[in-house]
Amino acid sequence: MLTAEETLKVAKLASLRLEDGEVAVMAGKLSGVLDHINQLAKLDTSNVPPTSHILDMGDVFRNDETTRQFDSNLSLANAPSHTSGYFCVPRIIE
Amino acid sequence: MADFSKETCSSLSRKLASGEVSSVEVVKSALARIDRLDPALHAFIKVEHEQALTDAKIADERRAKGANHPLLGVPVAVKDNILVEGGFATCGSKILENFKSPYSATVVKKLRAEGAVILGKTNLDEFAMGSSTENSAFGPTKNPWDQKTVPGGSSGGSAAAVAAGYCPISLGSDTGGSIRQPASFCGVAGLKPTYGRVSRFGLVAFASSLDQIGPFGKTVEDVAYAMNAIGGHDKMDSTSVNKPMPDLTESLKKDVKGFVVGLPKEYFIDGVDPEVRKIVMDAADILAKQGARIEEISLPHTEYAVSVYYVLATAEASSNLERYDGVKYGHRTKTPGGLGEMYAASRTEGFGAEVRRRILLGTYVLSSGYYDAYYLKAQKARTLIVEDFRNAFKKCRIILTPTAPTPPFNFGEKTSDPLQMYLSDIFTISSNLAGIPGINVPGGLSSKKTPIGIQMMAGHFDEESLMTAASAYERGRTFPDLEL
Repeated sequence: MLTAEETLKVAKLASLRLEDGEVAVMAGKLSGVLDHINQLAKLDTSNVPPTSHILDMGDVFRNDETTRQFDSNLSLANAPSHTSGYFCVPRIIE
Repeated sequence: MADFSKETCSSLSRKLASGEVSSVEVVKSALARIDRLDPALHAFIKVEHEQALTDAKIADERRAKGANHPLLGVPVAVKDNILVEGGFATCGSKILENFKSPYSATVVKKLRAEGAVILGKTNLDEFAMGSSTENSAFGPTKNPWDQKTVPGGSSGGSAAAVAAGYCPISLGSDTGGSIRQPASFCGVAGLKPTYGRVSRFGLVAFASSLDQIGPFGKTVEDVAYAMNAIGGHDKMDSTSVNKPMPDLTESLKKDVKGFVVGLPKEYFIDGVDPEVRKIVMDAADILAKQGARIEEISLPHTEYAVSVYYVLATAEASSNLERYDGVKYGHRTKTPGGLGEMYAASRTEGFGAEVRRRILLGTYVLSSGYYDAYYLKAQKARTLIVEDFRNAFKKCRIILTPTAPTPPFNFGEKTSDPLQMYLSDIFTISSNLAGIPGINVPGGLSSKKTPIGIQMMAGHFDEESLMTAASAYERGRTFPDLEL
């Protein structure tokens, strides 16, 4: 069972807020899934390599050339806040 | 107005080619049907009336000039996590409610190059995370066969759009069953291609090592036409594979004589609905009558697939969804605060409960101290599942299983317990982990008159055998039309 402290730590890592009332509920739901996942512990994988990509293919290279997909106005069009061609964020230096 | 709701891609294509009907007539009829039925069904998040009619006119003009592609002028629907330039792509999430796509996905460009007419964007579980379309921020889609039941998910809208007769073809994405399970629930054909067969460029990422775009169709032939259009290498997706795309309609003409069809004993466990089991066993008989040999096989690590999936898929999702931070696109909080507070508040306000839960689970399994026990362990277990299939395909050409353990379930039935919802993908998840193609073909109806499908899987890049077997089964069984 995930503790409240562990749950809050994971939320901080994931940049998600949990209200006080949500912590226990979320801990319970995550623990329920983790209990099921813990069945993996009984599987002997001592000599098994990990699979991260399913196909037998190496790195894919291309020439290091810039191409223009679309102009900066289009890149900025979905930004919640922008000015003079830049994305705006809250002030980070006082 | 003429009704084209029963037409398949090929029957419609013939009528368009002969000049019997125009694309404008077909699309007008489809839009009228959507206007009549979709307020209740909610297969679409956004219907593009004007754009669709413009595209239909263009298709008619192209045909007048001599063009004749199988999809030319045929209406299609696209899942709302696939980008169509200038249109919205909400992913079923509040966080992308106002996002407008600056470019089109490769599959969309390919569909349009063939002259397909996109009617609109279909509903989905938020960021394709779910098995019922109940997790959409814009409300659920209803199953056209029985509106008390879910259409499956996450591509529930695309499956329902074909089932409701809006269009013969739609596109979905499948990370753990999100095409095949809704296809089963809605009584349509649905293919998850081999990983790397279809470009993922312009598909909003959920779990990049598992995601694959694929088509729904009224028939297996429709799926073949759609796959012919969207498959193939794309330099914009470095995981797409540079192999020639075969003409899958050719595979439909072949027979299954001499095919060995494997029935994995681990897929016929307690918990599989008896009606589902019967339809799959009947499917084996139908294939046997056409000359296939049926053999029991074993995929011994099947019981671990759901666990492996929920470690790897959530880990990849937690990383892929980091980009939603309220800076470059997506929802930004109005609550004042510093940069870190802005990130957290924007994400918490924008993401729904299931997405937050999966991000937290993924973050946990990747976090220091747990990485080896969960993430690395799951990657190793994935290798064992891959080997299971490699060994199985030494003995058989096709693997036949249920698509989902049950017929469509009712709204709310599994929402309170995430694990129960996750287990509804128990038979589809393994093929995403192994990267192999899988198809759902409608099999029959349950005693409650809701659809039940069968799943077939084949080896990497062997969509041809899959289409041959799926088509042979489809010819050998009967499946009723839905009257709406």
